Amino acid sequence: MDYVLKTNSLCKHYRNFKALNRVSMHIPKGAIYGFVGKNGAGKTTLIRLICGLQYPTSGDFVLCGVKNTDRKIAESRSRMGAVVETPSIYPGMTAEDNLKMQYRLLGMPSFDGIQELLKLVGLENTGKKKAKHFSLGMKQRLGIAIALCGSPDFLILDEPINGLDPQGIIEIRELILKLNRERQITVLISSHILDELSKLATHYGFIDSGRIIKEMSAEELEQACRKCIHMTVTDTKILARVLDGMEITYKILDEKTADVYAKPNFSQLALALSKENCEVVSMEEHDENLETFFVNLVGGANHE
Amino acid sequence: MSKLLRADFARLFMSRIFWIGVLFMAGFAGFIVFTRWSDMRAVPGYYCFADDIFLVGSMCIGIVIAIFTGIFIGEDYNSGTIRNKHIMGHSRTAMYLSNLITCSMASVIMHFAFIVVIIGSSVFGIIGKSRISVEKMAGLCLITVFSVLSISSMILLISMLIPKKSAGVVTAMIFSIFMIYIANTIDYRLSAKEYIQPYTFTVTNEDGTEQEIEQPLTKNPKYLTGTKKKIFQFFHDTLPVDQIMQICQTETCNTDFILSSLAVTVIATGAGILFFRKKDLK
Repeated sequence: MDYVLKTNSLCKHYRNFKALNRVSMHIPKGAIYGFVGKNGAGKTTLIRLICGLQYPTSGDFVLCGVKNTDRKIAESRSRMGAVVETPSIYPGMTAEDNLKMQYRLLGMPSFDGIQELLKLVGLENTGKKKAKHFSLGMKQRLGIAIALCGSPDFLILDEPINGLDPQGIIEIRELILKLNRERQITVLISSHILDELSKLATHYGFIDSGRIIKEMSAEELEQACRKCIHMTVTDTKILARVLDGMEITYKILDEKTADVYAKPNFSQLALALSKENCEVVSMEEHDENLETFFVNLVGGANHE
Repeated sequence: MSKLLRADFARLFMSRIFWIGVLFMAGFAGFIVFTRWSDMRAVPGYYCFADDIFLVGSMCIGIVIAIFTGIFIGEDYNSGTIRNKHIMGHSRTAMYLSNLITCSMASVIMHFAFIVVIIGSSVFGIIGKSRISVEKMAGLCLITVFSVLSISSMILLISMLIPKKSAGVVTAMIFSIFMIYIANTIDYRLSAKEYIQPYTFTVTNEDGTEQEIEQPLTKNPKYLTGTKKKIFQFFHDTLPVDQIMQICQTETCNTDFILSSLAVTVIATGAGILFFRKKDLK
């Protein structure tokens, strides 16, 4: 698999405090990678290291095929756009002037494409209005437009929907999906608004106390969060035989427990099991979403 | 770095604080011309020449540079655009040097805004023409330009290392005022005479009678000698505000000043780049 970013045991220490502790993460090309963690978990620190704003205490990373210690990392970074914490915009300039400034910094030969970018982020009608008078959502979209100058392959968005109203959140979500689908831009989004992230991400990385607890694809997460009946029986071999007969999908967890991915007729199931000398000890509905999955994961990690 | 320079110069010419600085220096020159013109009309026999005042603005340029540089660089930090430059692949050294060139050019333009108004007033006959040759005036201007560059490099060092705009401006201003204070103190100590000349003064006694007291020739405790004098003289010749003060007082083209200004610029820039490269850009 092609990776846009791979980190290898990345550490960042502030005296005795370990902001990042041996973080290894993998962002596949073309993915929308949801970087999930509580406040202070280390999301922004990791993003700062990738952007070169801070230096790692130890460990390394490979960005677009170039190691961070390589001299060519600057070239590699030019293929990346980022909005870290707050959008990097000059408040005294208009949206167009801000984009022109970015074009100059990138050494673009002309200002062609600025109107297209403004249209893409929905700021084509801002005219001479200065960025300091923009709403938070408009500033965020302008920040994304700036990050998109030079057509990057990889976009890093640190908490892009923080403080936005519902309409603003929808606009940013649609913009990110559009960029990923139409321009094939790989996106790393850090957020703690999990419900929103679940509508976007194709891959997830969960971080807590500076450590990556789990990395998984959206399919794997969906599988883990799939609605099921968690059954405890006296013998799961018999349960499997009965469920096969009823053409119901299931997963045997151990000799006595299994997850059943459907709502069977429980009377019939219990009767069929009883005929085979298998008792149903308990049944409980299992319904997880990203939020509960994360809470269980972090809680689990804390209790390790 | 050419990309950075192109962007930084575009921002400079769009910057309100830069144009305020230019207008302030031009206005300050206009104010000085006006006061001298008023004096010339009011005081018989008094005449002001262009060479008397054309470098007076350089004495306070440090404060203007401090405000401009503090705000210009502070805006880059405040808006997060300094991070953006680095994220898109510009090296810290290139970013620092681009800021140095931009802020230095801005400082020199502000410096010339003052000089141009004074020379213009002289050409239009508001004040007297220069008593020194054009070549010498150009030479003096050139030396002060190097002094301005070294002031700019020191203030840039402060502004680049203090990310908070207001804190950066205040620190840079305190530094520039401190440089003026140091220049005055050094000048005062170096110009102190070895002896205090004999003088007499009158005191009134309790019974109302007046008594004349004669003070003999005494050694001046402020007079500098030996190594101490050499150290004071070294700083007087090296520090940029001291150099400008000497140029204003003596109107002599000391080319050594250019070398020492360049040395100060190189040291300040080297130290600035060293610290900036290690700085966490939060």
